[in-house]
Amino acid sequence: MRRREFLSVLGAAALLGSKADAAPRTYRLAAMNPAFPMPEGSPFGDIIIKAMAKYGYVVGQNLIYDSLCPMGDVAKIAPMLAELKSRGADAIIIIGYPTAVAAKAIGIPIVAAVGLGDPVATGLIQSQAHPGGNLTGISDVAAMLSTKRLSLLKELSPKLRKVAMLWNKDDLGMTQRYATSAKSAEAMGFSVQALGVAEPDDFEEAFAAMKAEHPDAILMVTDSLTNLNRKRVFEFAAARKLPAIYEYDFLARDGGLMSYGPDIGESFDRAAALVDRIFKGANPGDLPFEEPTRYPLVVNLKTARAMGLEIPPNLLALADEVLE
Amino acid sequence: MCGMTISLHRDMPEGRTFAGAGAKPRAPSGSIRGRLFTKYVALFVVVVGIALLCNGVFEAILYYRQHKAALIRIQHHQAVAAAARIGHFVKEIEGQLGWTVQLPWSAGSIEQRRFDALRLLRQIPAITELAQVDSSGKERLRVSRLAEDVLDSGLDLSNDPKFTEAMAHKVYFGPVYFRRESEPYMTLAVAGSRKDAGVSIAEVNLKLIWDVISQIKVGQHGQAYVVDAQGRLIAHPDISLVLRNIDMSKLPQVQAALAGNADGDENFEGAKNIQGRQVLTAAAPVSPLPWIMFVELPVEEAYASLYTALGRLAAVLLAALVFAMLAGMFLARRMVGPIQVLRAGAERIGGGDFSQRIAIGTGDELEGLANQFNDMGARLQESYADLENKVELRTRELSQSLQDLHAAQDRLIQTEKLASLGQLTAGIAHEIKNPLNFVNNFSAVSSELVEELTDAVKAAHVDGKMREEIDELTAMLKGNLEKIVQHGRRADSIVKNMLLHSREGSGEHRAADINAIVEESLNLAYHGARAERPGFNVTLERAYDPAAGTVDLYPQEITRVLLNLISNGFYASGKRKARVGDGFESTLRASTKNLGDQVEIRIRDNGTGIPKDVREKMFNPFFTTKPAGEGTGLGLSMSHDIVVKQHGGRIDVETEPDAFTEFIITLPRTLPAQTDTGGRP
Repeated sequence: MRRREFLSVLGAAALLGSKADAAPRTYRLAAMNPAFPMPEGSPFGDIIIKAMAKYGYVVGQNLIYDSLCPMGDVAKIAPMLAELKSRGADAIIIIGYPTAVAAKAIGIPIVAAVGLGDPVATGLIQSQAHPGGNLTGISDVAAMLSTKRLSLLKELSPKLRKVAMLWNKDDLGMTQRYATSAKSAEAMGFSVQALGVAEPDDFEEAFAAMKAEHPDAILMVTDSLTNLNRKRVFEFAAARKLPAIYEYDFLARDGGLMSYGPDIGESFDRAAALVDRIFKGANPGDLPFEEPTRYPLVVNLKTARAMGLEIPPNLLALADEVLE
Repeated sequence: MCGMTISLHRDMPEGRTFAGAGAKPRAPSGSIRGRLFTKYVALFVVVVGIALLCNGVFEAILYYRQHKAALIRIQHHQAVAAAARIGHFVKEIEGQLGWTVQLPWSAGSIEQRRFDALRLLRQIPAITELAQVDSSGKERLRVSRLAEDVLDSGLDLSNDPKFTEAMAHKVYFGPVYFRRESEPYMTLAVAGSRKDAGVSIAEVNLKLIWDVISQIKVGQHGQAYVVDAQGRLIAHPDISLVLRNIDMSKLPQVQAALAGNADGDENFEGAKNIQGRQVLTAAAPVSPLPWIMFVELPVEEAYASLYTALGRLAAVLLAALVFAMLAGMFLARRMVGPIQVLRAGAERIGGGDFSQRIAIGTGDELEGLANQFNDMGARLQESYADLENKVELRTRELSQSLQDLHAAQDRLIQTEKLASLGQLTAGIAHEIKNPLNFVNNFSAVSSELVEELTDAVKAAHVDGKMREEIDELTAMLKGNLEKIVQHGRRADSIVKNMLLHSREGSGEHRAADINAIVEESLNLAYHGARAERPGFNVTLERAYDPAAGTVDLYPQEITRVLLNLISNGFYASGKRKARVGDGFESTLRASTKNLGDQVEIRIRDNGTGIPKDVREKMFNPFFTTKPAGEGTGLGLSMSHDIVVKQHGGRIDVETEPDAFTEFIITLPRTLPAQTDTGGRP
């Protein structure tokens, strides 16, 4: 009898490590995209769920996925985050700077996946290596990328002189990004038509301005507002045969002419990795912000053809994704 | 339990004589058994346990060492392999960069170079930025993922190590730096084989090594990581650690590796890793970079199989110990059981139960010992029985001796009595004999004188009346004289006997046929009695033992004894016949019997017997039951003296009133020496 006890003790000792890992628990992950909803089944929702699955979280087994969307209404962001928190979220994946600002105060781990801008510059965190607080995620060097986008636009139409820039002027991150872009555009010798928008109705105004001033190309700074109205921008650009560049690959896939920016899939994947770490007990403030590594150039050849636009072969050759 | 069949109870039921004796030491016997049993078991377990333990510990140590050596070897191999993969990662970038420096700057358009550069960026995600410098050190082209392409910036890099080192050594690996204090980068510059091909300088995002490093599997929970020459973490499966720009040089294993032991087989056992877990770490240099690859495995995992094996070993050890204990108990039982049986048996034998037999069937020395105990018991039993017989014999002999002593004492007293009496008697007899002679002689003479007187008177004429008167007177005188003569003679006979009594050892002793002596005495007595009393009749029976043989004796004296006894017998039977009447037949039986060194003579009559009070005194001198005048009272006394004192024999009597009297004379074949002379006063 004593021997059996001894053996079981031995066995227990041997199993101790693995047992501790295998504690089954169901986690609740929430997500908030202020621009458009991303529940299960939506493109972003599925990306997140797929990414989580890579780390062993399966909806219905050990993961509950929850999302809310204020549909662009910034005022609703904070209460909705609180709602998500009250539903028992262990972590929230957010998109966009305003969400991050609202989420900083909420006290539960926040992982910003996309569209945050430079969090150090906006004062969200102290440093990328040691963010502190309850926020971590993928930092977006998008401000810097603007010059790259502008050069790509120039590659597309070498006669480029004037760029129209659409951005949400109520969004500090976007405003900053716009400012950087405008500065670099001016440095590159372009004139910038600033089209700051604050609400959907402003787009008509912006389109009218463009009709009046005839910019050579459009650069849209993506946030929830511009994202929500992207189709209108696509249509306007197509109608006016205006080359346009967008920040994220999904926008090119959605009908935009081309995009250059961080890989959304990668971003969500990394965000999921951070969520995994948080679920395993890591303090988000200790998890460094990560920068995207891949910046796919996506060209929508269909849109180009519809516009009657010739894409230079070099550009096509350099594109990571060409949609035909 | 162990099939022990040894038991004392089979031949030793409860309530036996010695159960009490055995029960007393039984109380401590339990503890004795316990002690011996415990000792045996403890000894066995200790001996076996030490042997097993030594073996187990030795094996465990050996296994531990081998296991560790193997672990270190394997881990080192893993580190070398992982380092090779990282090296390969860098080499590939280097190789790809090599393509961009194939052609001299004179050949081909800058636009084409730009396109090639952008294509390279597309192919190799790790390169974030690529600059091309011509042979003079001027930057001609710069493409970036994040920034606008720059052509002919005119930046002079001719003194920059990126350029100079690359030109000097074809390839230059810059130090690792962290963009925004977070993202690890390294400058990799490659010079073309042709001098005028210039140098391609790439900023390599080392985060991409993660793809490589995260795929290096080290056990289940082990990991590989890379630090640069300064000990800063470059690559780690946990990208967060890399992004935190961690200085690893505080870890002892990293310190040791940085100190130059990277390629050693050294295994930094038990050191904690950056996450605070105890790990086994092996290191290998990453060629061609000044980096070090570390491969670490959690100690628990590394030693899991070791612990399992040790656990198994411990279990086996424990099982063996339990077995040893059981075996020890079994053996101890086998040992102690028989010993206990032996002890109990010995105890009973010690308690006097010599019939106790110890039954042990173990077939070994213990059984031998038990058999020896049994033999001892048997011997003791024999000795005891022998001793008892001897004691009995000795007791008998002693009582015989005592009896003899008493007899001798009696005899001595009697002798002393008789001696003094004899002296007295001799004196008296002597004194009496002379006057008695006078009486006898003169009465005889007087009797003759009376006859002469009668004759004389006859011759004288006396008238008838007178004559009648004279005759009557003379007859009366004669009668008186005859009575005087008769009694005088009797007195004479008494005196003679008295003199005889006092004077022993008459005659010579010699070997004589005892049957002949008895027969002679019988005839003498019979005829004597017939002569004395004509109507006397008696039936004589003779039962002589032909083996009676000869006895050394004084024949005359023994004859006197026999005559005395036989005439006593005649007297007694005659007396009984007189009382009973004609229907009674007097019988006297004389018999002899050979008793070896003794001879027994029995004279038995069917007379009146001797009453008890008489029997006590009948050997005293002058004691007689016969009417006055018929016995001297000296016959039996004399007989006693002759048989006992003179011949060293014994005279016994068996009698029953009005039935029989039997005198038993037992004579030794040879005369005792001290009575040989017979010269007693």
